[in-house]
Amino acid sequence: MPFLHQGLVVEHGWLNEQQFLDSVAVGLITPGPVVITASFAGFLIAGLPGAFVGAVGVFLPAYLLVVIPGRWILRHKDRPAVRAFIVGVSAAATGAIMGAVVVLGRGALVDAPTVAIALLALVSLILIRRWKPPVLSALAEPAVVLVAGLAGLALRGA
Amino acid sequence: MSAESTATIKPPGIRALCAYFLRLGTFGFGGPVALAGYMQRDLVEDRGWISPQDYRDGLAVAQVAPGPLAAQLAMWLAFVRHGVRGATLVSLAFVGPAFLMVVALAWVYVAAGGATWVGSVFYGVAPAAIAIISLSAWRLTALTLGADPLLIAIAAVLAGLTVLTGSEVAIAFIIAGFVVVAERGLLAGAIRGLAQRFRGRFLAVGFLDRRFLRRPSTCHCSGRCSGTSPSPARSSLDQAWRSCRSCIRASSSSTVG
Repeated sequence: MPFLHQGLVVEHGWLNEQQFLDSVAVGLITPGPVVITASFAGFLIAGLPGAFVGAVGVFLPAYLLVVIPGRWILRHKDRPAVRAFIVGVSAAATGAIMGAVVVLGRGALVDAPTVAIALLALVSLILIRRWKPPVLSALAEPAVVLVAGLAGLALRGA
Repeated sequence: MSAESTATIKPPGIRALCAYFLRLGTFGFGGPVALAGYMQRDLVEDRGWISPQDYRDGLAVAQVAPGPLAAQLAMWLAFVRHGVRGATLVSLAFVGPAFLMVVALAWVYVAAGGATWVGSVFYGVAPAAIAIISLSAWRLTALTLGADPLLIAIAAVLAGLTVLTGSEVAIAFIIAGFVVVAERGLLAGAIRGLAQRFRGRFLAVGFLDRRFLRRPSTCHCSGRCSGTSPSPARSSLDQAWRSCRSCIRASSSSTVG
C-alpha cells in the first residue's frame, strides 16, 4: 500500500490524496482481495481499460511468483530442512499477522463508537460460530460487515 | 493440533474448488488476514479439503513471495491440488467478483464526482474487520505455533517488529525460517544443498561452500568411475551431490539410453 501511494500520488500525480484514500477504502470494504484497490485507481485514471491494467498488474506477478517456483517447492517440500524453513516462516507470518491486527486496530479504533462496533462484532462472530444458526452461520462475516457499514453511515452520514 | 491427527483429506475437484473461491471472492469481507482465516476454517477445519501442512506451505509461500497474501494463498492451495490449471482458474474465480464490484463502484464514484459515503461506510466496516482478523490470527496460532516455545518466540518477535515498524520486514521471515532450520540441526545440510545448487553463480555462497563445507574427496560410486574428478557435480541437491561429473554423465546417459 505505501508502495501504491508513492507511485500513484507522489510520483505520477495520477490521483489526489482523497481519491487515493477512497480507493483504499473501497478495496477494504469490498469482499475479496484488498489489492483490487489497484483496479479502482486504474478506473479513476483511465476508465475500464485502466481497471483491467490495474488488476493484471497486481495479480499477474503474484500468480507467476506462485506458479513458477511452485514445482520446485513441491518437489523439495518434504525435505526436513525445507519443512523446518516453512515451519519457521509460517510462525513468523502468524506473528506478523498478530502485529498487523494491532497496527490496523490503531487506525480503525479511533473513538468510542468504533471500539463498540469492534467488540459487538467480535462477540457476535464468536456466538454465531458456537451456536451455528441455520442461515446466518454461512454468512456470519458478510452480515456483520453489512451491519457495521450501515452503522458507519448512520453515525457519519452519507 | 487435533486437526493434524484427525485429518483425512478429501481432495476437492477443480470445479468445487473454483465454486468455493468464487463464493469467497463474492462474500469474503475483511481483507487478506480475514480471507486467509476463512480458507483455514472452511477448507482445512470444516471440509478437510486441504491438509494443515499444505496450508502452512501456502502461507509460507504467500508470505515470502512479494504480492497479495490471500490471493497467493488461494493460488497455492489450488496449485497443490490441480497444478497450473487449477491455480489459473481459481485466481480468476477469486479475483473476478471483486473486480466487477470495484469497477461498478468506481463507475458510480466517477459519475457522482467523489463519494463521502465511502468514508462513512469505511468508518463502520474497519472496526468490524478488526474483529474478524483478530479471530483469524487466533485461529492461525493453533495451526502454525502449537506449543513450541521457539515458534511462539519467533511469532512474538515478528509481532513486536511489525507493531514497531508499522510494516512487514521481509528479511525477518527468511531469518525466521533459517532459525528453525538451525534449531533442528539441519543448517549445515541446507547450506550445502544451496551451495551445490548455486555453485559458481553467487560468489558469497561459493565462498561459504569452499570455506566451511567439507566436500567428500571421492565420488560416492567409489570405483565405478576412476575417481579422477573429485569435485562433485552441481546437480539436483542431495541425491547426486556426491557424484563426480563423469558419474553423473554416465548415469544420465544410461537412463536415457
